[in-house]
Amino acid sequence: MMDWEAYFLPGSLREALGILEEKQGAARILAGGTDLVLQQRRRQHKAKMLVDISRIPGLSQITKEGDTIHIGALCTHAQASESALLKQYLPALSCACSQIGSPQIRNMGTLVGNIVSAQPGADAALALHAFDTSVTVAGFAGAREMSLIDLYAGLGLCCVDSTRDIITAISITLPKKRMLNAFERLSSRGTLTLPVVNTGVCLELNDDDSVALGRIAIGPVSPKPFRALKTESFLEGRPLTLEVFQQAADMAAQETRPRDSLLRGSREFRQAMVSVIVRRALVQASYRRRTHE
Amino acid sequence: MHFLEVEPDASLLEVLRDQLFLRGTKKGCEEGECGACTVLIEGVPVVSCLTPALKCQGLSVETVEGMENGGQLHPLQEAFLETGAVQCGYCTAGILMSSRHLLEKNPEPKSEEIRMALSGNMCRCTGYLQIFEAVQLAAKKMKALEK
Repeated sequence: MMDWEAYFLPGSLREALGILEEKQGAARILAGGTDLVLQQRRRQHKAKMLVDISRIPGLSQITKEGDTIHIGALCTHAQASESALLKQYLPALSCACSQIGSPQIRNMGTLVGNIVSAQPGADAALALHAFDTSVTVAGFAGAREMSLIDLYAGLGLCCVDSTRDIITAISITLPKKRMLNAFERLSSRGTLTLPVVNTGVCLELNDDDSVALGRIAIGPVSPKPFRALKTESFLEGRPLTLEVFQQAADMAAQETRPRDSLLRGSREFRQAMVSVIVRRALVQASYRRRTHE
Repeated sequence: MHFLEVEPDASLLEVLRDQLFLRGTKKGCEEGECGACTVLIEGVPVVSCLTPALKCQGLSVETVEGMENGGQLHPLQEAFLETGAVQCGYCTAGILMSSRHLLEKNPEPKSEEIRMALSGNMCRCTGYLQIFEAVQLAAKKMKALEK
């Protein structure tokens, strides 16, 4: 038993926001529920009422409008991992989603839920940090856009209050330049396990195939998703060579400060593995230059 | 179709077992990590321990009890028995539901596809090999039935 007093299934966003407004903090949004139900069972959360948004139409699409890809709040990890659109433009994201949990969990859990969990190693959210990502937040008084990085208040703390607001969509703006991206993850087994370390990389290319802009997101090596900013600066103007990738990978590892973890491994091991997976991701991304551009 | 009154915080697993007495679906870890509670909602495998029962209002929920048809076992069930893929049986219902979804979506799965489809279902008895053989055998049986 999870001690909820009421369970609502609104048929529209307006209705859902109205319930949140009426209940004044006592009701909380639920989509897939894989995190929230577990937290409730473990007594880590105390939602008195749930507002299940899974019946609201128009929230499960993945679309491209101009240079922007929009992912609805109800889009599951399974949908994202199988999406032809994401595989074409954001293979790092579809790859990340394909490695979350298990097939059952991927059928239930949503990308927005992954963001709201505010865990630094949450795979889908981590991959999204490698792109120019924002979210649309709907509140009773109206909607606003927020940059993804601004959503993180700390470990497990999302700035969006799920008792007042609803994230309705994720938006990723594609650059004008050619973009390559990839995701790599190290874990103790292939399923139902948290990452030891993971990374999403994105490279925007100049016409001569040198790096115009690089993004390297790494988790879980800090309370929030981590960007290797010095390494990203290093990559600018560099060619896509194995030597550059190795240098960048080693630099990225040195930027991180993972903790010793009984669950994930020692600080030294995890830092060493950051170098391995960043190099792998950069290599993987560079292969895509020849295959899908 | 079932019309039930359920508590707001009841899980689908609890309702299936304790109110509908459909006890084929098993309670394992209750944390979504073992797959013993796997059922199909709108034809898609989910873990019923983490699914609020009220989320399923108006949706189709299929459990292992629905696999046999008038006393005739589903080809998957036959195959599981033939290959020795059932030992204690606790994981079996969940694995059957995941397998059924796989074969409906992909009637001729490769070995790796079977492993991936069943990666959310734990078995502590068999070592999985007989289970994978059973799914491949069932695929052949189902293909033969279509002819």
